[in-house]
Amino acid sequence: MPYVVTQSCCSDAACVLACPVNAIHPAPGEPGFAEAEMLYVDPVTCVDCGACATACPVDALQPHTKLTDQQLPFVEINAGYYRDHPHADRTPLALVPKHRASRTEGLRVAVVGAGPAGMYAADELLKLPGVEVDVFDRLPTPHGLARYGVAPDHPKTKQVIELFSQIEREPGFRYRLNVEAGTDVSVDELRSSYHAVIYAVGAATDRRLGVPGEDLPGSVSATVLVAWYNGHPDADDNDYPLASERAVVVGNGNVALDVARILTSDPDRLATTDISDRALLALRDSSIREVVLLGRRGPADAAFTLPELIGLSNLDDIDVAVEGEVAVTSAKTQILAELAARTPAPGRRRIVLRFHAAPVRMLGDDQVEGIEVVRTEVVDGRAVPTGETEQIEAGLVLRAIGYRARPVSGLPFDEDRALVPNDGGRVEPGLYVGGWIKRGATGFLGTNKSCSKETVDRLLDDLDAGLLTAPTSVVPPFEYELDHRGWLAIDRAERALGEVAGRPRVKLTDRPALREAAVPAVRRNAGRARVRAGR
Amino acid sequence: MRVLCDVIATPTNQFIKQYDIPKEVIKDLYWDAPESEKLLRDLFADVRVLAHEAGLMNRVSTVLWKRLRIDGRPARYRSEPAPKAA
Repeated sequence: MPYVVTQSCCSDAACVLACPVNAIHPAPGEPGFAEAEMLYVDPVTCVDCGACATACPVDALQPHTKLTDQQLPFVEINAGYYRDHPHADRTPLALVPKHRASRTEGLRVAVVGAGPAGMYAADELLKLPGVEVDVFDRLPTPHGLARYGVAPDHPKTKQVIELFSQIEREPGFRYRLNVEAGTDVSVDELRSSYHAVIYAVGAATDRRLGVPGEDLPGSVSATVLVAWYNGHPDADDNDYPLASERAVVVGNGNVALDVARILTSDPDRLATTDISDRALLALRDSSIREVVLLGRRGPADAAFTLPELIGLSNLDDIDVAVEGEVAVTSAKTQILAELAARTPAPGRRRIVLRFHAAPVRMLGDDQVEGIEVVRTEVVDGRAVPTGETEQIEAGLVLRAIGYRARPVSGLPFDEDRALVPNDGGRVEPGLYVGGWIKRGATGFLGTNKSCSKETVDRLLDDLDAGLLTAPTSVVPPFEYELDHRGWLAIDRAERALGEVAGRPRVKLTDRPALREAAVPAVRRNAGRARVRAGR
Repeated sequence: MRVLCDVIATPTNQFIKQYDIPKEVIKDLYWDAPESEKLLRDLFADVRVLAHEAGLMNRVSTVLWKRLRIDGRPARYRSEPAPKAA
């Protein structure tokens, strides 16, 4: 009678500690956690108490009696994991690490970036007595990719924002939103104003294909399209050619599935989500009937995760087709083979998963008209072109082969791996990194929890060793800065608009609107701010 | 509930007498030392969530919980490991 982990699992792993019988694995630190696509409940051990469900920030844990038909495959996925990985050496209870003896009273830490990695880092720090954490973000709104990256039709994953709002209310937490590290305040200024600085700035750009014609209008990064339909202020004015019948996505990771789904979904279904109004308007006029996803290698090497594939195969407003033969070798290829055998329903838009196809060049002179691809063969796990090429007509080509971090001014940068070189999060004593800028653009939203915990452990090691210097200055308040109350005002305004429209929220997507919704913190706190600065 | 906590957690007078445990040790263990006081507070973290969600926390009950030394941060979820700061 077990609980079952379903599609939205984000590897936050709070459930592992909540479970009274240690039935949820792989836990952070166990072999396989870094590679796992989700966590799994052992149906034999589970006692059906439901503690895990109260811990899950994204509502992924469901009792098996409450599963919908679409969620039923997850019963077998959870059980199957334990056939291959029995975790026979597990302790009767998950081990809770002992509290460290560090003297943290008066510790002041700056976290740059209010995305998942930054929020989890702040949370870890605020579990210690007497710590103050200031969280900076260059945008007026916090939560990074939880707000601007998670697809609008994944509302469960977006629930993680509720967890972040609990972290925001912890004593010692302070937002400094709309303040950009590097321009408004330098690394040196931050370091002299805090005992330690944690950079959790993420990976703001994308990996490029390196093929001719990549910069033609109509050939764009999927990450920018994601920002656009999620109402990111920097992408709000973007315009995409949606007038052709077909779009091509290069890559088949979860971001590729996201953009393909959003481009083919029924706009009326999207209208019930928190998708950007401007994007919704454009999508209503879209002529796209088909989105083709290109994978360099075969179906067995597809980059998307099994839970997302199951979610996609369950949609009833989109046809999903798989081209070519699929050899069944795993749960993923099993579902791909089932999809390949489906007959398309007339009138529905479709997503085509195509394998063994690598991009060669973009077609078209002053606008993308298509893409030339070459057939590949997999040799020793690598895709080798066969020389057999084909042209696919498309008015929009999106590259979705991964996020890539940008160098941070004042920090070293490893161009090859696109991250700040670090040892478990430590760049040098007093300067740390967390999230994608630390480990590269991999893992799920909740992976950042264990990642940030590791960083905070390094920080405490340095504190214990007396390597952190006490702050000598204060970052002065900025006129345009927003604090927690400013964000709450924006949040309230968006939810109120959403309530009228029957949506979770209607996002304010440009800076003037955001500014207007939030009363600037400085004007309200002018007196208090001066006192703080003078301390 | 606070009384029942003592019934469950603290040893009986007979036990204390039989093993001749000094009074200060008992006092330290059952809730006077800072560590044991924190343990007492942590024991009630799950109940605090319940009280908050059921709307039982008003001005009177807040003072009462504080006097009983079981006030503090409500747990985020059932059996959350208590943070050091709570």
